[in-house]
Amino acid sequence: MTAGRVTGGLHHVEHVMGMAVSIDVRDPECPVEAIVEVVEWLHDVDSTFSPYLADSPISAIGRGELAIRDADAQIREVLSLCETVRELSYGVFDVFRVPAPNSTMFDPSGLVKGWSIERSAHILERHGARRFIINAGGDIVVRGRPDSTAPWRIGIRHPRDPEALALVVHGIGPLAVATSATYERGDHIVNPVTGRSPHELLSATVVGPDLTMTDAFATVVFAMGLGGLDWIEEQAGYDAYLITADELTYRTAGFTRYLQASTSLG
Amino acid sequence: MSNTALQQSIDSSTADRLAQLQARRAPALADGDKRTVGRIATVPSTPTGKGKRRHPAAKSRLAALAMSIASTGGLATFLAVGQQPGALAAAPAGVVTATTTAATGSATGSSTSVATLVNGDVARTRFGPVQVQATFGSDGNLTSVQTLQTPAGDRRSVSINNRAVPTLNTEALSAQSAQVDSVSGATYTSRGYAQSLQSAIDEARSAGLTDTI
Repeated sequence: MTAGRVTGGLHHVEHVMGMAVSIDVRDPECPVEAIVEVVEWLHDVDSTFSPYLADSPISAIGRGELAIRDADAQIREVLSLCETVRELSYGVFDVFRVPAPNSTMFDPSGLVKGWSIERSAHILERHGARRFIINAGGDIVVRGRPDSTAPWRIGIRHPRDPEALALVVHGIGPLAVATSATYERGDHIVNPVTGRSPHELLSATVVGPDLTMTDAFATVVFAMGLGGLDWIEEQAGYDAYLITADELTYRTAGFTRYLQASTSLG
Repeated sequence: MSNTALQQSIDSSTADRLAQLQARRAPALADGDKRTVGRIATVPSTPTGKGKRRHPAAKSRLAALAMSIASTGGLATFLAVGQQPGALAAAPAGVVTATTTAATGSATGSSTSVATLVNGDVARTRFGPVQVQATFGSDGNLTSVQTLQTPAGDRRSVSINNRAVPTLNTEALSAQSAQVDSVSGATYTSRGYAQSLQSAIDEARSAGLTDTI
């Protein structure tokens, strides 16, 4: 299944924020403390940003009990990033118009996840890791290469067959891959501009330099439908691969760079 | 909220990218001049591990393709192929050519060929005439689509028409043969993870380590 038997390095799967986060470090010298710090970080993020916890700061903001200017720096940073994506997406990405599990209309989870995983990559790098891949519930950030020759090989799940792939992305870090779709959790994405759940696409995959924006952009593209292809072309450094409900695929011109034949670099 | 104060807490690389993104913001979605030409290519067909196809009906594929192109490019009558089985050879509006090599553009008819080419109607679009051709394998499955005619001399029109012709999503790749390091997909829950390809990958990775955390 994987690209040969991989030995050495560190590997850990942590269940946090309602998903499985797989951390796969290929550097032989990376200390275990790096993984421990990432795990602690992710649980901290969960307690701060969870819309499922009634006593989380995010739930308090949603209920109007906590002003954003009084929230801690991390929350303000996330909300600043949310605002940036909202502006870039012409209002399609709007965390203040999302029905949240805490019964409010405020849920920044769509950005928190990618942001927290990107930060996790920074933590690993601070501990000296240079070759690793983190998969957080299907959204991925990589650094370096898996070994000295090959690029990372990242499969895009086929939207109608959980055991099959639609495509393989080849890339060298720093790189992020995020897929937005409804086949796992149902219609959880609503385009606030239209007020409807998008059905034009089965899945939208975005590839970019960082998971914070890549993950949020995947949500935007999925909500926009095929029109999202034109939108993502305007975002420098980001490319997209779309699968429509009739199982046709579309991709940006720049996406071609991730489709190299498996023979060229192993 | 104070944007300056917030920006200070963002790490510098993210801040740089945000600045770049904002500098490159599109003036409007409808600005067609900023479109980039899309690449037309066919994903190589790879046999699935299970050796089955879930959507083998060529006619529905073609209808879906025509609908997709119509919805994308505003071409309402792109491929006017009938809905009934066997309509491929008798499509009244399209030109059907059965051949073993290339398209001729004329209707000849044959039942023993290995590939069937179906030419769509020439559609009059606001960008000029557009015509596509679909190729079906001997098993009746749609194998490729190419553009026979696009409006010439207008780069913008060409880019739009390139975009309007999708890449076919052919056979799904077998995860077993693809040898991937990880799998990207819609966010699965912890419960969904247990049945996911990613969990199988993680198990294989863990098996390669003597000390797991």
